[in-house]
Amino acid sequence: MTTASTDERSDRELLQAHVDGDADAFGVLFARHRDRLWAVALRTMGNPEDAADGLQDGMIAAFRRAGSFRGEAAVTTWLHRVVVNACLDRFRAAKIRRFDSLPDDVEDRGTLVATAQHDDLPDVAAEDAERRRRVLDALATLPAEQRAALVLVDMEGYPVAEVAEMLGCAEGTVKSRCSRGRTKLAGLLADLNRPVGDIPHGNPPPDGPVQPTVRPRGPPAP
Amino acid sequence: MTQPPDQTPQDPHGLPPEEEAVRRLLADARHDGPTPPEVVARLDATLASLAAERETARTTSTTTTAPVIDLGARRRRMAGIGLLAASAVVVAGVALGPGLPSMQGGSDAGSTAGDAATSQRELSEDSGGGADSGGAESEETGPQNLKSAPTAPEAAYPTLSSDDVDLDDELLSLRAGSQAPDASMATEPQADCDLSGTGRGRRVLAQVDGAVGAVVFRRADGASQQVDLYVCGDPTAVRTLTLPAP
Repeated sequence: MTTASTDERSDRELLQAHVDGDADAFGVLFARHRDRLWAVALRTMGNPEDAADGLQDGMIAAFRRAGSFRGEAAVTTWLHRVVVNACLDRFRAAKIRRFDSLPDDVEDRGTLVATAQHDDLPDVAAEDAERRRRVLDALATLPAEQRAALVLVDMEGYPVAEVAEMLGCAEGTVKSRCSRGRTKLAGLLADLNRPVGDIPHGNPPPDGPVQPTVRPRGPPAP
Repeated sequence: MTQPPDQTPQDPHGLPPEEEAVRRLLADARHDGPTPPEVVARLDATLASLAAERETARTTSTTTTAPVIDLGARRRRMAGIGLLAASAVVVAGVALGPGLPSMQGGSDAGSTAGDAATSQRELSEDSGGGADSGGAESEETGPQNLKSAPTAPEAAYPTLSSDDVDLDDELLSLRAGSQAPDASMATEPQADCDLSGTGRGRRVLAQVDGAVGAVVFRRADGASQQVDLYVCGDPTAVRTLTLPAP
């Protein structure tokens, strides 16, 4: 249903075809942009499970509201807007706090792809993975709106003007959200902000001594 | 569509060094991989159900739209004819009144007006309208007609399809019909229909994509008016349109 490779219709034509009743058009359109939307949802939500929920919410909303698209922006901008809003709505509703519940196996496919190039240098690959984990952890501490702005501008590289359309706010708001978010991340990631080639080694500072998880065994009760 | 450049998303010279360093870290942490297969499968399944749901709604719509819309129009026409007949009776009464003093027995203008009101009220009751609103102006139009036929109220709802290319025209007609003095549109949903999250606006119940729902006409903003279509139990608008302000 979502094979988009052979359909040469433009995004706008596909969306209009969907509105006009073409049963396959929306699937083709969504598949065309799915990977980028997934990347945005993943980085905005912070974990694959919530990202899948957010992306699905966004897809349903876009499917049903396609008739409301008036063509002022690009279709992909509109799709990003719908998906990001779905993610933010879900985030606000659930008040997800990924920072406290980050699973150990947080490495997603993007991390694995990025580190694959260092297979012959396991130490470098491990450091890359650790640095990415630190960055994502720090990103997860930001308010959702700041995070979404940074994901779209700094990670995905969209122009500020287009991100302003995606987020439904002024360009100045996007810039200030990005600036505030970067300032906070700079404090959290200060030890990573070193010249290339001087990447710190080892684990981040420990939180403290490891606490025993079970109470010391006492004498058996009489 | 804007295709962002890889790894150089923003002019680095526009940022202070600290922010530029963070920007680079974020760019390095960008997700480049494809959507996981399990997520793709889930999205495809959801899409299939959405398409099936829409097809079902379309089938239902094509089999029921015309008759229901016609019923509404016919009802309005009948009410209009009824009012016209009532007006004719009143006019005839007023015209004949002065010419038949012996029959009136000293009537005055007040009694004539009272007769006219009585005639109209009786006519309304006869036609099942029961429009005794008492003159109170309400933003929501009278549900009285539905109360007279509680067994299948949704049968009288206008039927709309969110992907109808002529939906704008249908909503314009619906808006005009709901604002008419003899409007008989239903506005209060049944107990099992939750429309609590639909926000403020003039609400008219309708069959939306085969399900009971509502059309909410928002307050006009300048030259335009936003209209949202909902189905019961879902606070997310099925479709949003902008009409010219009334």
